[in-house]
Order: sequence, then structure tokens, then C-alpha cells
Amino acid sequence: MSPVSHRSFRTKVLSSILSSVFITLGLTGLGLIAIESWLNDKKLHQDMEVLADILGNRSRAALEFGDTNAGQLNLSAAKYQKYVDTVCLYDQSGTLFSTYIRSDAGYECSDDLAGAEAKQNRWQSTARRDVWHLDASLGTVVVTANRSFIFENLRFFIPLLLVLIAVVLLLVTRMLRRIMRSVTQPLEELHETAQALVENAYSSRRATKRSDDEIGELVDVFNRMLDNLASENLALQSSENRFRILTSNAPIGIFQLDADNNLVYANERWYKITGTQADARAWEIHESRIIKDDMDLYRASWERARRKNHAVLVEYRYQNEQGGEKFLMENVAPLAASLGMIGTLADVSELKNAQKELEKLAFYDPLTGLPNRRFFVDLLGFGLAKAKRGVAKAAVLVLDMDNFKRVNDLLGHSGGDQLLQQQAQRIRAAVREQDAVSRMGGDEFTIMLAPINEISEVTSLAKRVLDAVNLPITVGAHTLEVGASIGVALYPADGETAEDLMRNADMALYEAKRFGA
Amino acid sequence: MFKRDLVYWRGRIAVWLAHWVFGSVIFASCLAVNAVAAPSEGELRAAVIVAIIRFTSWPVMENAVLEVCLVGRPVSENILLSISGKQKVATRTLNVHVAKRGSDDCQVMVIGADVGDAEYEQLMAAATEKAILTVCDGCRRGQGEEAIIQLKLRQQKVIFEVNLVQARSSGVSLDAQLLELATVVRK
Repeated sequence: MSPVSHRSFRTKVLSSILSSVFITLGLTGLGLIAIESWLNDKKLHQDMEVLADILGNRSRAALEFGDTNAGQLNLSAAKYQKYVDTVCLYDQSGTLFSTYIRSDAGYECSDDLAGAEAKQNRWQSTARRDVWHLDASLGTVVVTANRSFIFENLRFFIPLLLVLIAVVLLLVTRMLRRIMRSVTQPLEELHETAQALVENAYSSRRATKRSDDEIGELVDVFNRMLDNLASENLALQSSENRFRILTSNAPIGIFQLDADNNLVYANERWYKITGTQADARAWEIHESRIIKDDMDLYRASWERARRKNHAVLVEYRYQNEQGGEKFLMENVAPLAASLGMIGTLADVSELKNAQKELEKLAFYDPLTGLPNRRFFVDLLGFGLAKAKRGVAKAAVLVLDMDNFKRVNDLLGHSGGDQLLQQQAQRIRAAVREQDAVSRMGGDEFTIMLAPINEISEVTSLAKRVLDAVNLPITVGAHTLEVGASIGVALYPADGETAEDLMRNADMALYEAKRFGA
Repeated sequence: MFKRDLVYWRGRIAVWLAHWVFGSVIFASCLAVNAVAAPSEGELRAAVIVAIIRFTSWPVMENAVLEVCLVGRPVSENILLSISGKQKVATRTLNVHVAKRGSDDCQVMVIGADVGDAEYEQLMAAATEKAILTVCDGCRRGQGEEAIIQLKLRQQKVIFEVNLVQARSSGVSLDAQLLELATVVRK
């Protein structure tokens, strides 16, 4: 930014107008001097012609009678014209007849008329007149004047002009100062009022209206603007107070970063959620507590918010002060014109846990922790698709406890539940990691074995499951032996869909129960 | 005593200077005469008469000829006669002739020495009545002052005196410049 020299408006206008006036007067003066010089030159020439006429006319007799003394006497009348250097009177033959030469002229008359014409120079002005009497030319009179006379009058004219210019400039300056004071004084008051408001935005100071003109109207508008500003400030202050109360008491954390990612504001809740103190390192500590695995997601979300200039919701895991984890949900948005970022932060750990719990209820059996029927159907669908892609086999086993009703009767529902929990763990332990075990309800379990390369694997696994289930089981003070029956359906031999396989497995179980009983 | 001596010596110096100047002028004139053929007295007088005519106006000037009468053998007679019909003043040709006594046709009458007093008076009287420029050119002693112009020779120069009263009486007008050159103007 180039430096700006400070000059008051009054000085600028004054100097501009005075310069213009000075230039105008100067040019006018020069013009007047030129005109005066031209007029003086013209007047000089006219005077010389008149003088030549007079002297020539008066010299007629002298020429006629050849009286050089009379001629000399006539010509000497030119001494009363200061500008005349020489008057040369030539007779009819062009020979010098008589002369008048001013003592300090420095010129002399030429001896003949032709020489007189050749002798002229730029500093001389010459008027020549033939002397006639009756119808005969008696001779010629040549008047030579010093043109410096033209500038004689300027010796008085130029100082007079300078004095006139000085007086005009003085008057203009005084007049302009008064005018400018009347213009700038209200402006200065406006400036002082504005300055007072800069120092104190709630100042009640207002500019004084001193005239009912454009400046007075400006003062009115300025004061109205200040009134509007004051009311807006009041509204803004009220709004800010409301905002502060809201943010201070908000159940979520609110924060603001500047363009350099420095925390410029955070409410108490934010510090509480992040477990930081209100100091310069708060934001740094906050970011360091984000779980490393979620950091990339966190960074990408912020970058997307900045790039697309809209709010982004991000959820991440956070290490709390005690070393445990919690879930935080942050909604961050960029401020306009790259002013920084603003956002909210909420601790959603409880919500997240509740969500997990709900998911668990929706997909798992709450008693055994095994996938429920709905989840099993989905798992079976995935397993079949995988087997199909791998050109492998799969099997669905439906297992039902034998005489489970009696267990319930003996041990009660609580005992029955404990038995089912232990049996579920045994079944789960008996199959492979990739196999799925679910409780369909009551004492019925469903097992998906996938992938299966050989039928013998199904037989083997089914035997392992039955062996595990058939082992004696201790519930409370009772040790029981509870058998089970299994129905098997093979993919793709017994069906290609989950429904077909489960139905066929059920039918196989039914058959097994019937023959076993 | 001292004052009287001062006046005396001043007078002596003035007389001595006058003689010296006069002698110098005469000497210079002699030299000039020897160097260039100087005009004769008659020529000078004739030239002056013609110049005077050029500065003179008459009540009636319609004639193409200006009659110049010579009476009593003026000094310039021969010269004037020689220019008769040749010299012009403005548009008027000078007609110079020796006049019979009392001629009526003259606008200029040049009077010489060969005129008696009685005749001189008659001529003057007639000239006064008829607007005649009377020029006394070498008149007898005692004559001339009544003429409008009286030529005289002084220091080899022809000078003239003007009788303005006579000029007014006769109705002849003389140019003011002519009066400036006159050595004496009688009013």
C-alpha cells in the first residue's frame, strides 16, 4: 500500500483554487502585457507617423529655401518626444539636409536616404514621410524611435499588475477561507462525532446541525444513521446476551475456530465434554484425544466441510480422561469468507450404547447371545451366496432338545434358561468359526455349516454337536442328561434357498424325532 | 573699478570674436566659391522669389498662368526672364515679362533699383488695390519697406523681410512658414 500524505481537505481545496486563480491571473497578466506591448508599439508607430507628418510639413519652407538652420530648428521640436532618437531630413536629391539627434541616442543620420533605410534594426522603429509642397516633392523626413519606449510603460504596468494579483489572491484567500470554514466546520464536527463513536460505540453524542442546507441535511442523515446504529447495537447486544446465555447453558458443546485453527470460543459444555481446560492448548489436547483410527475420518470430514462450504456431521471415538472411550458427534461448518469454523459437539456415548443394545435385541437372542431367527436367515443367505460363488456345499442343521419340557417342569423356567445358555455355548463351541449358530426360539437351534466340501464334514460336525449336547449338564444342584435330535438339509441337494433348506431341515428333524421316539 | 574693467574686456573680447568669426566666414565662403561654381546673386534672388511665390496665395488663383512683372530692372531680372514659361508653381506656369509702367496683369511685381520714388509710390498703391505680391529686389535706398517682400543680401545670403500689413491690405496671403524664415516681419 503506497503511503498517503495527509493534507486537510481545506488545504487541498484552497491550494487548488489559489493555484487556478494564480495561473489565470498570471496568464491574464501576460496577455495584458502582450496586448499593452502591441498597443504601445502601434501607438509609437502612429505617433512617429504623425510626428514625421508634422515635421515634414513644417520643414517645407526650410527645404524650399534651402535653409538648413530653419530645418534644424524645426526638427529640434522632436526633443519633446522622448522616444525619438533621430529625425533626418533629406532634400529632393536624397542628400541629408538637416538632423535632430538625441544626445544619448547612439545613432546618427545616414548621409543619404538609401543609407538611412539600410541602417534600421529591430530595436528601432522608423517612420518615413515624403515632404510635399504644392505638387512637388521637396524631400523626405525619417523619424527613428527607440522601441525600448514600448517597455517604458510596462515598468509601471508590471509592478501594478503584480500588486493587483497579490491583492486579488489575498482577497480570494480570505474569501475562500471563510467559505471553506463554513463547509469544513460541520464536516469536522461530523468527524469528531464519528471518532467519539469509534472510541465508544454506545456514545450518545450527536453532530450539531448548524445550517439548513446540503451539509445540514448530511448532519441529519448522519445523526439518523447513528440512531439506527445505536438501536442496532442495542439489538445486537441483546442478541449476543441471549446467544451467550444459550451457549453457556446449552447441553451441547459449541466452539469456534479462527482461520488459523485457533480456538476463539468454546462454551463450558465443550470443555466438559473434551475434558480440557480453557487455555491456549485446549484444541490441541482435544485433537490429540481423538482415537487414531477415527482421525482420518475426522480430518476428511473437516476438509470436506471447508471445500464444499457446508456443514458436515462426523462421529468419532474419543479417549476420555480416565482412559476409556466415548463417542462424540460433531457438526462443523465453515464461517463465511474463510473466517474459520464453527461447530457443535455432543457426547453420544449413551446414545451409541443404546443403539448397540437395540441392534443386539434386533439381531440376537437375548438369552443365549446367539443370532436370532431373522439374523440367521440373513447369515444363511450370505453363506449360500458364498458357497454358490465358491462352487461349494452347505448344510442347515435344525436341533431340538429332547424332553425339554420336563426340564422346565423340574427346574423351573430359570433352570431351563440356564440349560439353554449352557447348551448354546456347547453348540457354538462344537462348530467351526465360520459356521453360524442361532436360537430359533424355545429349545430349537439352527446351525449353518458353510462352506462344506465333503458330506462327511456335515456328518462329523453334526456328530460333534450331538456329542456336546448329550454330555451331562449341571444346572444348580442338578446334573441332567438332555439329548437332542438334528435334522439336516444339504445345499444344493435339498434346496437352494434359505427357506427351502430350513423347511427341509425341519422335516428331517421331524423324521428324526419320529424315529428316535 | 573692477566691474568697469570686466565690462570693458568683455566688450573687447566680443568684438574680437566677431571679427574672427566674420573673417572665418568670409574665408570659408571664398574657399567655397573657388571649390564649386557658386550661384550668382541673381540666381539666388530668383530662386528666393520663386520660393516665396510658392508660399503665397492670391484671392483668385484659377488662371493657369501666373504673371510676374519686372519693373525697374531688378537684380534677378535676367534669370527670371530665362525661366519664363518653363517654371511652374503648382499647376500655374510663371509668365515673366518686363512690365510697362502700371501694368494691370501682374500677380507678382518684382521691383528693381531703376524706379523713381514717385513711380514707386504709384506702384505700391496700385499693388495694394489689385492683390499683387510686391517684391523689392535691389530697390533704391529708402524704398522697399512698403513692398510686401524686400530682398536683401547679407553675408552672401539672400534674406528677406515681410511687410505683413501691406500683404493684408493687398489681399495676398503668405504662408506662416514663410514668415518664420523672414528676418523681419512688419505687422
